[in-house]
Amino acid sequence: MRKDKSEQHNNEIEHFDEEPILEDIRASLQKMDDAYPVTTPELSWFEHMIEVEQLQLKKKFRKDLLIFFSCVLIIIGLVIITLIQAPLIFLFLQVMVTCFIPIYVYLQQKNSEKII
Amino acid sequence: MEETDLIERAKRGDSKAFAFLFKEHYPFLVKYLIKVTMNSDLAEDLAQDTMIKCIEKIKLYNGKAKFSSWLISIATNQYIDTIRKNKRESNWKLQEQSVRKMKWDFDSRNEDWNDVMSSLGRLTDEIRIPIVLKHYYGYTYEEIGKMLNIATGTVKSRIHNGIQVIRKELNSDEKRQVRTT
Repeated sequence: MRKDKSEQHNNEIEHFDEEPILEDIRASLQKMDDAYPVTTPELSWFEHMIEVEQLQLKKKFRKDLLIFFSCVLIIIGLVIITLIQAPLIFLFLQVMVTCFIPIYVYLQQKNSEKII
Repeated sequence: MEETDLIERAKRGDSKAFAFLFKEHYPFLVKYLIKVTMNSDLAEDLAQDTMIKCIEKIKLYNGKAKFSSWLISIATNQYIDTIRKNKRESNWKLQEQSVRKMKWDFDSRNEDWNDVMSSLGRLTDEIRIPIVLKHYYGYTYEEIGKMLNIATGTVKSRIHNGIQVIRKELNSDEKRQVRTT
């Protein structure tokens, strides 16, 4: 309780002591604000910029989607080919992946515990 | 139309709503960036980058903070990213040049340039940004911490250290002036 009071007192002193300098900082920043009048562009300028950007985003999204589906098709194709042409290798890969996932999860958890 | 309606429309991809929002907040954004970067040209470039980022991330805006605060945090992170891309030495030179140019701008307009502005210009960005946010815009330590992705304690110590540095510089300047007179 006493500690809290003294801490509060210290804070008050600190703020009281800092107040003039804070006022100077605020006044200086206000001066910077006033010194540079900002001219806001027309609404049409903003609209044009937004439309161009939205178009770019759409293009990027389509490109990413194309890459994603290409990867999916390649992976599924490889899986099917392995299943038909070499079922033993397919089974071996399945077992390896099934064993690897719990080991990977365990190692990840251990690493994150170390970081904390 | 209210800001919340404009944000909802912007989230649905309405470019007109976006344009209204940006037009409304543009001066606020540029003025914030001028104070943070102390460079009016860089501030305008960063304002444009911020708007582009905002278009990309608008769906992530949850309305918990004011839209202007959200813009400020995007702008700050854009600026920090720009600094990180440069080398430490070139950042320092750029900062010095910016402050010198700003001082020149003030002189050419017959405006008073004071020691506090010089001291603010000499602070590193990681100290000046929280000072501007706290003591000019009135954000709380917690809000600044969230904006800059740093702990509240770190914000407090950076602001406190920054103000101590400014005070020391001002005191030494005063002493120097007294000695010369």
